Amino acid sequence: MLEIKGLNKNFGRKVVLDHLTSALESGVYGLLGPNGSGKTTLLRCLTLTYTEGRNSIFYEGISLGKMKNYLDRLGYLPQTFGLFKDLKVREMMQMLANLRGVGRQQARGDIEKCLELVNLTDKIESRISTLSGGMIRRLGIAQAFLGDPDVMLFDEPTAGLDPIERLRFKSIISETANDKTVIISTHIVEDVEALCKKILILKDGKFAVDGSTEEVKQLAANKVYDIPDTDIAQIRGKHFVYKKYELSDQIRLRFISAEKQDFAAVTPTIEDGYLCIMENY
Amino acid sequence: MYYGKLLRKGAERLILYFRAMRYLSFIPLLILFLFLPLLAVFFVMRENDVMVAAGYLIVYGQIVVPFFSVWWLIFGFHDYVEGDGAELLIMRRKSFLLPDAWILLFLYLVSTFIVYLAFSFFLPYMLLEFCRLAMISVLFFGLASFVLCLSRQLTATFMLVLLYTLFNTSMLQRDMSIVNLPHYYSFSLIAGLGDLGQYIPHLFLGIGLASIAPLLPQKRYT
Repeated sequence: MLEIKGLNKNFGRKVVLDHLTSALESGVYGLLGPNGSGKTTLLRCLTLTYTEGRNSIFYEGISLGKMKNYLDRLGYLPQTFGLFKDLKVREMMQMLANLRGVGRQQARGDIEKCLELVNLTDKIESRISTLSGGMIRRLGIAQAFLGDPDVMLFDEPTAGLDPIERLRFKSIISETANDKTVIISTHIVEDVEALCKKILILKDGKFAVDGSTEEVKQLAANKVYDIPDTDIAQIRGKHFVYKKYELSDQIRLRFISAEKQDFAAVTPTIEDGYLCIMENY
Repeated sequence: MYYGKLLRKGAERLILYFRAMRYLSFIPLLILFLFLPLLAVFFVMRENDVMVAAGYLIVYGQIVVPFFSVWWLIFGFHDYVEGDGAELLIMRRKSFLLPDAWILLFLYLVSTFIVYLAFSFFLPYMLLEFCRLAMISVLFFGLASFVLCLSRQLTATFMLVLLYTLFNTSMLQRDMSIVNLPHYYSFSLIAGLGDLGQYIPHLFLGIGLASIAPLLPQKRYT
């Protein structure tokens, strides 16, 4: 279990993480929040890139600062990834396995297995500089699996992936993450909905939500409406229209309102719950 | 068993550092094993006097050898400094970065020793000259490590090393009988171990700077 107890992080006077507290058990967690809300900062604290995590984060009851092999049990995909571009794919994976303390024998098997996961086996002898952006991203995902880590952190893993590869990523996580603690930081609520049982939403440096996907959806219960745009005049009070789309030759609006409307409220999604928090409904 | 594993892992990393540098990794070796010997042969043939030839080689060696001692550090650690996702490497920096960098310097000095050992068969004072160059190289290494960690820019580090070399060569014919930090460049031959004493501060300053470097706060990650 990964526990965060009163984690603070400031950049100068700016408070980015404000006394964060949470307990993360095995399973997949979605980390949501607007740009600049501190998602990457939190992940960097969890990787000990920022030293604030040393005394405020605990793994299996031991603070990360006192734990010797924590980093060897951690798989991490940073927001940007493109290391050792002059190496071949196999060599780069070998280097990262080496740095992570994965044994030579284990690394050989792991490299092939990880590349197979992301469908890059045929590129094993290619130079990284010759790969496309999406392939490099997939390589980044593959390296996070090296050494079969217990804790996995992904910072916007599906950014730059095509729809098929996004689906593949989701299926990899679903298949492999049962006994691991996986945190996926993303802007794509769809990915979170498909993958995560629990959600952390960061707002103003604090966890605005730390709960199940159902709990997030319930935050928008009886607040979400979907109406034809011809009925717009009938909306009462403060509201937030966040989607305008066409359905059966009809323009429709989806909006949030805390005030009771004359329309029937629709079943909320995680996106609705997220928007309710962000827009203070 | 434990140390054996550590050594194997270290060796594997070194090989990969060199592969990552590609053709750039050969440049210091070309300088040491091709350029300097050609220069030595040229001076011996031109001067017909080994003392004069040794004097010339000392002058050029002090420009070339320390400068290229940081080459593998700068280009081998390129990804730690400017690579996309360098945080993946930096988060593990304390456990291996410094030893790996020292090993790269050690390999360079071993290569330099081989060349100067060969020179010593036909030119005087070459092994003592190697000792001087090794001490100056440690200063360059410390300086480059420090600036690399502080600025996290390859260009800035490379320029500083270049400027420091130029600064020193412009101080030609200084009296090096006394400690002259930050100067190191000298026409004087090292005739005995005692003459190396003036370079001890260079050596310790280099070791100090290199030791402090990994402890410097990372501009991007603090």
